[in-house]
Amino acid sequence: MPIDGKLVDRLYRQASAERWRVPVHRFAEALEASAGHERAGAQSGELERYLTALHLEDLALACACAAGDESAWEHFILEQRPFLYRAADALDPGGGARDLADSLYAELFGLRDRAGERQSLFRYFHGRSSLTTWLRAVLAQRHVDRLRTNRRLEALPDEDSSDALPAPSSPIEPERYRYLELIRQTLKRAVAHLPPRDRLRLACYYAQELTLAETGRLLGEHEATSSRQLARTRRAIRDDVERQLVEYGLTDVEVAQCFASVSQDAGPLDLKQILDVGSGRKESAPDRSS
Amino acid sequence: MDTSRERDQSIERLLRQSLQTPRPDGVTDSCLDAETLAAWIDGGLSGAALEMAQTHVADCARCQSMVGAMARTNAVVAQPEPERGLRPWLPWLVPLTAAAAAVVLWVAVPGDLSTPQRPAEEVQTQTAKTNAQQPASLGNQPQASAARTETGAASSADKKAETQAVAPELRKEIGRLEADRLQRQDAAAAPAVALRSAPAAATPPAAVAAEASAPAAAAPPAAPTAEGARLARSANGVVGTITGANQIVSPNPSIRWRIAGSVVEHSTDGGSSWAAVPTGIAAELTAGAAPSTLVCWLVGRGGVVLLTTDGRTWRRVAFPEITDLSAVRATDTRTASVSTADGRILTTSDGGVTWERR
Repeated sequence: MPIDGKLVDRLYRQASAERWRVPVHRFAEALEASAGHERAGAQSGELERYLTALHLEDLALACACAAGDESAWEHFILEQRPFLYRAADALDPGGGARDLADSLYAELFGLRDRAGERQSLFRYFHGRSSLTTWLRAVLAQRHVDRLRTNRRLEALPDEDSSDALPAPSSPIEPERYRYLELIRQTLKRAVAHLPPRDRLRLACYYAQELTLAETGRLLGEHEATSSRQLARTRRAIRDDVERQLVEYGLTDVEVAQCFASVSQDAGPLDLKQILDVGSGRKESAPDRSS
Repeated sequence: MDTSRERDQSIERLLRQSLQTPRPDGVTDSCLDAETLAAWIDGGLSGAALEMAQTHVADCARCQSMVGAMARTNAVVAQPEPERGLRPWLPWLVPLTAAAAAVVLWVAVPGDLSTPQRPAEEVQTQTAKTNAQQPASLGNQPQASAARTETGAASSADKKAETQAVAPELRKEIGRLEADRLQRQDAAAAPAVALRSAPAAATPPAAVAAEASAPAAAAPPAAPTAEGARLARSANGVVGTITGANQIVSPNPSIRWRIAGSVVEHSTDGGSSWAAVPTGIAAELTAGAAPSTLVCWLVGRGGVVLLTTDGRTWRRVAFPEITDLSAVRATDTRTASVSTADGRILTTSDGGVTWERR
C-alpha cells in the first residue's frame, strides 16, 4: 500500500534517516513493508498513527545496515553488541549462547546475495519494537530452538552413568500412586478449562518462572493485579479439582489423601528435570514479587 | 494434616510440576516470530494482534520458552544506553536521581515497607543491625532510622495504603537505576570509579536509612554511604536481601561478587573489573552473603543455594524446598540462614547437608 509522500518525508526526517544516507524510496518501502506486515492502514488516520508510533530511528538504521552502509553498520555494532552479548550470557551463563549471537552478525550483514541484492536479516525488522528488543527476541528464538533440538537428539542417560536419574528409594504404594494420578488428571482438566489469559499467567509464573512484575508487564497489568489473579486462579483450580474428585466418587477422606499424596512427594527437587524446561527453570512461592 | 493451606500448597506444587514438564510442541504457523515477540515486549501489539499472541502463547511450550528467555535477558540488558558519547554530567545523574528517590522514599513513605519477600521482623532486625554498625560519620542516622521504625509501627491504615501504592514504583525505579549503573560500570571502568567515590558528600543521609529500611529490591544504587552500610553488614558475614543486579562484598572490600539474573561475576579489585564465574545454574539469583574472601553463599529462585569456598567454583547445596529464596546470612562455609520469599527461615550448620526451620 503506497504511503502519502508528505507523510514519508515527515517520517524520514523524524527518523534522521539522512544521517545514514538512506534513500527516501527505500525508507518508504520499509514503512510499507511494516504496514503490510501489521495489516495496518485500513484508514489513512490509522495508518499514520501506526507509522508514527514505530521506532523510526531504528528502522532507518536497519535500512542502512541492510543496504551495507559501513558507518551505519559500525554504529550498529558499537551500539548493540554489548547488549547482545549480555543477553547471550543471561540465556546461557556458560557462554553457550555467544556463538548464536556471533552467528547473527553474519545473517544481519547479509552474506548471501540473491539476484544481486543483499539479503539481510534486517528485512524482518519492521520497527514495531526497538532494535535491541528485536535482537534479543531473535537470539531468544534461536536459543530456545537449539535447546529443543538438542533435547530431541539427547540420548537417554545410561543406567550406570552418573546422569541417570536415581531410582526411588522405596516403591510408591499403589493407593498413593492412584491418588497422585487422579489429582494430576483433574488438575490438567481444571487448567484446560481456564481462559487463555489465565493459562498464560500461570505459564509465565510457574513454567517460565517470571516474577510478578514481569508477568504483569507481559499481560499489561500491574504486578499486584497479577498476584491477585494468580491467587484467584489457584483457588478456582483447587475448587475444580475438588469437585472433579468428588464427582469421580471419592469420599472426603480420599480427597484429602489425594492432596496429601502430593505433599508427601516433597522430596528434594530434581534439578535436571526443572532445568529441562526449554529455556526456563525455577520454582516460585505464593507471594513472589519482583 | 489436610488443612486448606496444605491443599493450596499441593495445588501450587502440582502446577509447577505439570507446567514445567517439557511438552513436545513443534513450531506451528501460529507461533510468534521474533519481530512479533519483540513488538509485544515493547508494547507494540494491541487489540486483536495482542489477544491472538496471548492466546497462542498460553498453550505453546515453545513460545512460552521464548517469552521466558526474553524475560531473563531483561535484567542484564536494562536500558538500551549506548557506550558512546556520554555527556559529562550524565554519570552524576544516576547517584543524584537515586538520592532524590531515597529522599522521596524518606518523606513520602512513613510506614514500614514490609513486602512478601521479607517479613517485617526481618526488616526490623536488619535495620537494627545496620544501625548498630553504621560508621561514626553517620552517627545521626541510626536515630533517624529508629525513629522512623517507631513511626512506622504506629502508622495508620491510610499510611500503609499509601506506602503500598508508592513503594513498588520507587522500587522499580531504583532497581532500574541500579541496573543502569552496573551497565555503565562495565562500559567505562574509570568513570565508574569516580562515580563511586566522588559524590559521597552529596548523598543525602536518607539514602542510608532508606537502604537499611527498604525491603528486598529497594537497594539504592551506587551511593557510597549505602555501599558503606552494605560493607558494614558484610563484615559480619551478613548481606541483606537484594534483588536484581547487586554486589556481595566480602570483609575485604577488594573481593566481591555481583549477581544479575543468573549471572555471577567476581572482582578482586574492588569492582573496577569483573570476571564472569560460571555456576551452571540458570535460575535467577536474588541475594548473597560473603563471610570471608573465599566463601560466598548465593540464593535464588526455586530453592537454589550455591556455595563457593575458593571464590570461583560453585557447587549447588541441596535445599529441601522448591521455593523462591530472598535472603541469606552466613558466618562460614557451614553455617547459613536462608529466608524464603514467603517469610520462613531455614538454617544449616553443616554446609547444607541438613536444614532446620527456625
